[in-house]
Amino acid sequence: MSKLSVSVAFIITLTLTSLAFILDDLLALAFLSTLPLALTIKNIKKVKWVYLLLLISLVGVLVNALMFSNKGAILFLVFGLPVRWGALIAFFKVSLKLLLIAGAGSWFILSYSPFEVARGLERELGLPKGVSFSVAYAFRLMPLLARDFKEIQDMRVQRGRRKIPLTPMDLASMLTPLLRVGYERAFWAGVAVELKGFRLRRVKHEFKLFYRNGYLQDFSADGAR
Amino acid sequence: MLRVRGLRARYSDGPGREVIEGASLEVGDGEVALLTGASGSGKTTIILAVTGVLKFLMNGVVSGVVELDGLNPLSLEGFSKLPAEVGVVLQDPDKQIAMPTPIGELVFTLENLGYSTRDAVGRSISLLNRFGLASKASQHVDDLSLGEKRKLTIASAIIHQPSLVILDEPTASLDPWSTRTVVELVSSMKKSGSTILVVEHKPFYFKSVADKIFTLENGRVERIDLDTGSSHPRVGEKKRRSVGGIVLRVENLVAGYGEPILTVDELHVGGGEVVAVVGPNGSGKTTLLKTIAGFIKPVGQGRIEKASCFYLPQHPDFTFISTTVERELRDAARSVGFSELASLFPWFEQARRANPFTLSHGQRRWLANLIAYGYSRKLILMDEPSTGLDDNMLRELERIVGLLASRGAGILVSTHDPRLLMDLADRAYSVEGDRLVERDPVDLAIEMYRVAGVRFE
Repeated sequence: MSKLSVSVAFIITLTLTSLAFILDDLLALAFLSTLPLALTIKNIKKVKWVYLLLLISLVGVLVNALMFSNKGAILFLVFGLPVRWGALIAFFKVSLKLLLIAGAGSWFILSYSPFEVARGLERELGLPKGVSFSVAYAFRLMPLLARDFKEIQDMRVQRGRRKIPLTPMDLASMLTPLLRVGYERAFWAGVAVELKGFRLRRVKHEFKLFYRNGYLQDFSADGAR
Repeated sequence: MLRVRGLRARYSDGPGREVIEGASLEVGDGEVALLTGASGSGKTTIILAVTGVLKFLMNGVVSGVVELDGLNPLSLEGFSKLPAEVGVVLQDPDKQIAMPTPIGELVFTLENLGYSTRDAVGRSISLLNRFGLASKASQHVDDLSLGEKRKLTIASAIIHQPSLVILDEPTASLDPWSTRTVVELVSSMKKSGSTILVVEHKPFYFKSVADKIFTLENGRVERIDLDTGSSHPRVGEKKRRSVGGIVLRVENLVAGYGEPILTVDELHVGGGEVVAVVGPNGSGKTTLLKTIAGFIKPVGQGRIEKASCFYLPQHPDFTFISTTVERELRDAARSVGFSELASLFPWFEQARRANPFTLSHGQRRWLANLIAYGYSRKLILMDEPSTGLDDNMLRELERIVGLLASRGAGILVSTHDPRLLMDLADRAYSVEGDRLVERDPVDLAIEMYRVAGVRFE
């Protein structure tokens, strides 16, 4: 089945994200933010953390709206605090903007494998090989970092410390082992890729609108014969 | 052919110590050579020096002669041509694999060397098929088992058919089943004419395929007799420890993350006893230890009766929370006094104000063990403590574990390392299918060595 190329999807995602910053019309924002949401709703579980973060940030959005845009007619009272029309509109506007950014990002993440993303950025958009390698390596490292972080949290709980860092000392004692192990990994990955000839890498640039049969199939059709 | 003459290497151009002091070795076409030596003897440094990495990427100082099929990797021109001629497998697959998917890793290697994407993808799919990884080609690398990751690093090193393949500790962290696969892969590479240098501190695994063996000691390389250098581990007499009251009893427990992974009908550990839980990579050993420690909820009803316990992760660094060794030990002095803990740390006086992260690997492991003992003098759960340890470092580990056991701590160790069973464990449980079965540790160790292809006469 054919699908949009990474470069086209990247440009669309970037455009939607920019529109989230530019647009001010509530209806337009509502329309645009439901589009990527509708496209990703089937696999939303895979990006639940994005929406979880969005929900958490909405608390901040509400506080901001109440502090800086609480103007106009009073609609209702919350714990004695009047909530006015302006605060409600501002809350919805910023929430929809965030939903649009989250939805566009999620759509991009869910539509392509890390392999396709890293290669698409390098091959189709012509990003420098160092940048596309960093993107690919970030995809590689994220699960490892998450695993290490969980292990460090477990150790802290076992030693009677907070699981979530609240003070600079907490943060330092959690980040030190994480960075130390991360640095060691990055160092050896650097040696490994140099031994694989990364400095010699020259990739032909080729812009594609669509992958007709999926990325791998398109490129392996002749080679696998 | 690889020919090294009078190789000298150090890590900086200042007055730093020379790690390699005039090493010479030769590996002929189609030969498999083993390079063995203790941890810290410079085995990895030789690889970095011979491939030019130490000189050109790490600002090290390397002199001597290195010839690889007419190529001199110590010249800038030779170094830039080296990736096409050499495939290198580093010790830890997690540190070596740079791409998020297996297909990405292989295609990346080939494209670097100038292959078209079409050729690269075709070749990669075909090699993944040969290595039994085709069904996982587009999965995230982190979903692969350790054995599969190792296979992937080997595939990535040979995909461009280099004339020399160098493998650095390829069996580190692997269970005997995966070890056997690696040995078989080396054997098949040898049959296809590759020249192979295996750096390994357990050379007996490769005895059946090796043509020659070198040892590295005090910065010098010496060729030794193949039989002497790769003799298999011996079954020695084990001291019996006196066992106190039960500190852990587990009955009818199903461990897993929501889905059952491992069923334990009965498991117990006495005070002062070292008990091993043995099984292949990914068989649920860590999950069991974390369930006992209380990090994971058991699946269904099960009974865990335990004294207070402390779980030690594979990576000792994750245990530390303070900025000095002294603070770590003071903080850990819960079930044991600080002075007792300090007296058990042999380097305490020199290192009391040092940051734990600045200690050597062996010292960090020792410190992590003492922290565990400080928190719980009765029961310590150790997750794969021998990963990546050579025999000397293993002796150190045995010393600290033996010391804690002699003070009455019951120790439950998850491992797939037969050396721990042979020398350290009083009793053992083996993962068979999805159940835990009690076995004699020495019999189990011999069986594991045999699985890995080591022959006991």
